[in-house]
Amino acid sequence: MSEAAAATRKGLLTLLLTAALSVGLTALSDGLGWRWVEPVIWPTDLLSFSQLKLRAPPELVILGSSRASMGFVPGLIEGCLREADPAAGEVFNLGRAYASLPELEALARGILVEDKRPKRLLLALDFEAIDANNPRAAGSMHGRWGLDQLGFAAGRIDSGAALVDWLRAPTRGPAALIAAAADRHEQDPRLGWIMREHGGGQWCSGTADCEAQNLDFKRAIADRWERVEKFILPRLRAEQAPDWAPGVGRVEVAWAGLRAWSMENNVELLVVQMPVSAEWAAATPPDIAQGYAQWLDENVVAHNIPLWRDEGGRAGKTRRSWADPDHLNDAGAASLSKRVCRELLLRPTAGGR
Amino acid sequence: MLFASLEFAVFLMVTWPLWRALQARAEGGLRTPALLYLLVISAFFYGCWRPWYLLLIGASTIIQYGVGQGIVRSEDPARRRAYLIAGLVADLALLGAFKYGNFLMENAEAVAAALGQPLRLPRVPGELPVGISFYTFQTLSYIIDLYRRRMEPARSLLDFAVYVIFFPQLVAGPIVRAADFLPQLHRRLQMGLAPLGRGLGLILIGLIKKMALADVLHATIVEPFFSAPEQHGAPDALLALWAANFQVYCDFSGYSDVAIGAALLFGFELAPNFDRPFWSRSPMEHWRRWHISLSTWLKDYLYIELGGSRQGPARTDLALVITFFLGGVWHGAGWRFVLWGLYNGVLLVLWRRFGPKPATSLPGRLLLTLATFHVICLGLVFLHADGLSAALDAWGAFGRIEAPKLLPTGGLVALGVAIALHASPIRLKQWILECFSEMPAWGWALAILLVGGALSLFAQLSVPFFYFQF
Repeated sequence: MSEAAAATRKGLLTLLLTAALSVGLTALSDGLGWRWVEPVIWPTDLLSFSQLKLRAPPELVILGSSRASMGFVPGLIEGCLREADPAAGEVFNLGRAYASLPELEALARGILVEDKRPKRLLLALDFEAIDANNPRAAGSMHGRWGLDQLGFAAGRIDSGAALVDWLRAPTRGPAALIAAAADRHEQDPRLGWIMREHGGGQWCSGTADCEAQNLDFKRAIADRWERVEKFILPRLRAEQAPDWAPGVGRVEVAWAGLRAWSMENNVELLVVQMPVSAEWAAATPPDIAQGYAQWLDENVVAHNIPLWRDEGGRAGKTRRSWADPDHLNDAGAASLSKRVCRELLLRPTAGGR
Repeated sequence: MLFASLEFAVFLMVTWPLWRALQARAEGGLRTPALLYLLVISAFFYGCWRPWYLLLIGASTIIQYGVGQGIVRSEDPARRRAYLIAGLVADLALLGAFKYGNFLMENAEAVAAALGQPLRLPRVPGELPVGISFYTFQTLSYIIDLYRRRMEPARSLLDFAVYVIFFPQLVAGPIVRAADFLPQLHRRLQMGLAPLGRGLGLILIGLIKKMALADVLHATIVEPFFSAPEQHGAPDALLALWAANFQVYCDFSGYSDVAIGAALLFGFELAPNFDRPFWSRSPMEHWRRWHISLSTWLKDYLYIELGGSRQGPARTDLALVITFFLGGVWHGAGWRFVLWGLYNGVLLVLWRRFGPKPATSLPGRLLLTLATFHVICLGLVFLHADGLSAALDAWGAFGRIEAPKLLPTGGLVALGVAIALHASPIRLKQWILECFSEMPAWGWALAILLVGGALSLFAQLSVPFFYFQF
């Protein structure tokens, strides 16, 4: 055999071994329960969530973008629900920076399984969440599919990018194992703690530790308002929705998929239109604001899914409720959480939709 | 398609086996199907950014191939010169319009407004096409070398197109000379075990440099300092300057390693682009060892044409300043690039005129090395700071003696590893690559998974390659 032929043979063998080992390691990491690796800024410790042992199904899980992550205090909603019904289950906030509808669907199908399947799923939406061309999608959520769901996910491949995303699933094992071996998900103990002790999100309440963490977190993001005002508000369309395409393509598929998932799993679907500050609202291009409202009418209201167009409440009109123009601070999140709880109490669980 | 992505890994895994199959049939050189294959996969790689980029690079390729043919076929010096000028104008117009058009318009409007004559000029639509600075320099070198009769022309438009668009070097270099690349299309490529292993090893090393070192330095030290330099003192400023210099080095030399490695997988040899530049004992030596393909391009086609060092000290000084000014502007359209280029040009002139003599003793050599490193660092402030006032803020931090605020463990570890990597002897790197080449297939597979898995944990930093902006 010539040296070139030997090199080709060794190269091909390497490719096969790489693929086989990758799938094997992914199966191993899934089997060990080390399924989640969280690679985004402002993360949510999904690994900790997936490792929780729950006694009963969660009462409510909140999915959305960073606005959801910073907009809801699970402990407050939980406490409020338990005042009305002491048997109410736990509440979790799995808001995730940049997540849009396709990623929310993938999260629902990939992580809200078995004992994590909630009674109610609250989708906290914004105009970016329904943008099929969202330039800042949280990333490889399709890579979070379990190996057992590859067949289902394969049916969703409609582009080269989707194919590569699909390929992430059987290749994430090595990273998951390395992350777990390095105990990486504990690298930000705040996130693991807030997920395990307080149901996730970025704010919590009710204890001295929570007050300290809220204060620390506020200090860490103290310059956010100024940065957003300087770099995003003047060019909001270019930054957030340069080629805004509401509810089409993969978003349309994901929205239908989420509704189907809620029916199949008897999970009640609820939607809240996330509040934004007056400054953010003023900077939002009118065509996007109108298109977003229209999409909610035609796709949420029309399917009889409860929709709350939260206007921010009285406190939401002032800067005191905001960490930056589109993210609530602890006070704002507490206020929104209480309003959401009141809405939930007005509407007893009605089963799947 | 970024090198540091699953997309690129899939691209290589799909295109490489077919390439080997085509090569097995094309003994002794590339045949047309293999060339067409290289053209198509490179076009796909490039088109993944924006398909319309292909129109631009296609037009440039056809025009410059035609110019080259015109130069070669004509014996009349005036006619040859006319072809050359036409080619230069076409390439520079392309680069000028897309890269500098809006910058010039904005500044013309600002000047007009300052003179009380408000002006509204049109803008060049769209963004700067990725890699345009690199491929225009490649095609320019081709027609200039033909004009100077220093190389044989491309045998066909297909050969020339493959030279221009060959994917490993297309987006951010190295700037490959046609005289080095075109002959490889017609001789036996490096298809053995050693180049394959070396190529794979270089790709892994390059990705580690980029994702585990450069991106960590950027996220933990460089960005926090340069986003608010007024909040830091001298220790932070010094650390940030070191980190910034090593960040750019790891980023770009990492990119070059991946490019050279990817080319090797396909049997092509690209020249090294870095030669441990921070060991330099003068700024002149630094620029001979940093981004070598650009430095030699600027020397061969600009500095020497401007008189080089043959027409007296004053002319040499002028040639240096102009060369570095244009080198700075090549990096981007903005005043920071202008200032950075001028800084380096003036630095070289001052060093040549008033700088220290070459040292022979070890302490002397060490001092010169440290001095060179730091004057280069100071210039980098222009590239990292957002404008002149921000650069002044960054330098101003050196005037404040305060306790360090920037002591991130990850960043300090990354800086230490980057320094060790840079300082390690070339022989050691070669030995590591040789050992890697001799590993069995399962060893390569494990290395790919280990590096890929570990680096995907760094992906959250996700900083684009520094040189993409150029």
